[in-house]
Amino acid sequence: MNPKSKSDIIAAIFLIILSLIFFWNSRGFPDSKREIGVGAFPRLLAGLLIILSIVLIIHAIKDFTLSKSPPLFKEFTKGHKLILVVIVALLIYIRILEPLGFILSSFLLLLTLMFIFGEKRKMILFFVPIGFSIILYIVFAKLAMVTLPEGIIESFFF
Amino acid sequence: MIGYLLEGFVIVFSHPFNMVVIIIGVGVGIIIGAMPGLTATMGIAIALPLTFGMPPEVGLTLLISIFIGGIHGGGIPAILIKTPGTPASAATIADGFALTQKGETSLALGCHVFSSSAGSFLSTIILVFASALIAEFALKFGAAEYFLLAMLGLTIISAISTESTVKGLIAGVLGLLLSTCGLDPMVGYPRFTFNNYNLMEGFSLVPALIGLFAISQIFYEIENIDIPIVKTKDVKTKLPDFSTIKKIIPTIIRSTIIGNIIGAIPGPGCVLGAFIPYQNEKRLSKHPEKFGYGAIEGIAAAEAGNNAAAIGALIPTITLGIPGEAATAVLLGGLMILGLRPGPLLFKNNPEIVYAVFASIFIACFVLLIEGLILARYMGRLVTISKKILLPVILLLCVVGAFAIRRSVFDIGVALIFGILGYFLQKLNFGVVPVLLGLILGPIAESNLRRALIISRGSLIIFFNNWLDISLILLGILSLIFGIRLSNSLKKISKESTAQTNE
Repeated sequence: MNPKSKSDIIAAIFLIILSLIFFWNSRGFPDSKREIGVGAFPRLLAGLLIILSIVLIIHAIKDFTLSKSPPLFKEFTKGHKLILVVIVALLIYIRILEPLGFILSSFLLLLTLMFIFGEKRKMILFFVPIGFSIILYIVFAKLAMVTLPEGIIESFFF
Repeated sequence: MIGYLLEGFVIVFSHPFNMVVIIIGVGVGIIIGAMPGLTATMGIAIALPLTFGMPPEVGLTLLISIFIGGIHGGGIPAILIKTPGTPASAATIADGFALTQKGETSLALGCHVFSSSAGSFLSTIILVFASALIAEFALKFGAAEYFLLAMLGLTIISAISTESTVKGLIAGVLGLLLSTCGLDPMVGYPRFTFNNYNLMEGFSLVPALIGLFAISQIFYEIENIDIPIVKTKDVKTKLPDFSTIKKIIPTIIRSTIIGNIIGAIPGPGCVLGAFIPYQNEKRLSKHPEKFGYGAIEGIAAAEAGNNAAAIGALIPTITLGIPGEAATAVLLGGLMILGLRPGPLLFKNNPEIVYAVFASIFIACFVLLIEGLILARYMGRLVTISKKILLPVILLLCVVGAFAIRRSVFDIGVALIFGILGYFLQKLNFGVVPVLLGLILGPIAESNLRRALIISRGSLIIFFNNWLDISLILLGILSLIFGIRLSNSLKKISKESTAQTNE
């Protein structure tokens, strides 16, 4: 079996589990006998998704010689590692955004990511993040009327 | 109709802000389109939060201007450095770069910008007439037809947009299923909120589409972050002279008509909208051997074609609420966020908005001509900005956009989750367009289904009541059969090529 079919099967199993979670959570929805109720549409969709996933598994097993496309992760490359780093960085950003304020946390996010991506020039590493964070803060505050979270820096200047 | 259109022009010209929006939109679109890795779709997704709070016709104009500029901009790096800025400009590479190698960059860029804007302009004329006709016809729709139409749109996109019909359908149903999170549309019972207050209204659309179309794309680009960048210089641009224009006019007209029709069919999108007119011109040409080696007709066909397709794709999006491909799917999300209900009622309830947008598109075509000429000169510098700087900056824009709609940190998390989901869906060839369409159409489909069944007291007969319902159902079945046959033939091709490479 080629790795592509294998990743299809894994995806199908994941989708079946997801559908079952929706099924399980839809118990206890108020459903009346006369008209189709709150739970009917999601249950119909979850059922459909399970059927389609099973079809996908059958296809994957039947066609295992077919596709020559590369597997999802032939090897764990540097690029994939960077994606993981970005995800972790964003999760931290979500935590620090409100306590630290927009400008400081965005400065830290941009600085970290640019450094990890391999930018070495110190001037760029400092001025692009700070400049861009401040510009974005002002654009959103003045043009879109959205105040981004305020922290120490914002309270000094604005 | 003409009267409405004139009123539209009056609305646009009566407020200077509208012109500013068009100029900024087209300019930003050209820049985003020209940067390899950033697509028009991504630009629209990121700009969406900014339209929040604008009057609907202005917001919509901004998004469509970015779309038109983006499809045009993709051709600039195709000509300069042999890399298309967006997939739709792949057909421009051969002739465009050949001209650059001959030292005729300015001729190539001139033909490019003239064809793009002429193609857009002619295609907009078709857009205005076709939309009015279709909208007229679609006014007969009731609850049952709205449900069937939503299902038809989803089926077509699912069946045709990816190589495998099953995978496309899975993506569509997944989108529908995720759309059922939050308060149910009829009685307001909270579903699948997992006791999280933030999920009361379900997944918000803007963070979801920023995740699916922008963050997932950033992940893709991060994988190739180490690919070195081709250096290039500033160039001169000017409009082609009259004799050149006379030579490419017939090509532009033919390519616009073909491109517009291809764009209006849900599924194939702007990429085929460029390739098919290109092949057609090559077939008709007296010198087909020149195509691929610097024929200006080649550039004209591809660039008039893809811009015409972009505008053609607006026809089903605006009149029926069925978007043709990724960018118009995001645009459909934009319509919802601006408080407009996509579909036939848009024309009936808000004709002034629709025609103001049409008028703006006409103006955008001229703005494109001017801005395209000016911006192309400096694009050489822009396309070489390092991804190490660009990607973090774009990522921050996505994050802010996701946050801004509800001022909610939770929504940044939603964008991240949909970004990861979109990345995997694309990697495994499920496609992300059906998911977004499912998310958008889910509530519309469900409430109309339940409303129709209340009217009919639970009888399914209401969906077979008249020839309109039956033809919608038949169209859905036909598109499924077509999709399955298409995916089978694609499988055959890949099987044969596998066999060949194994021999």
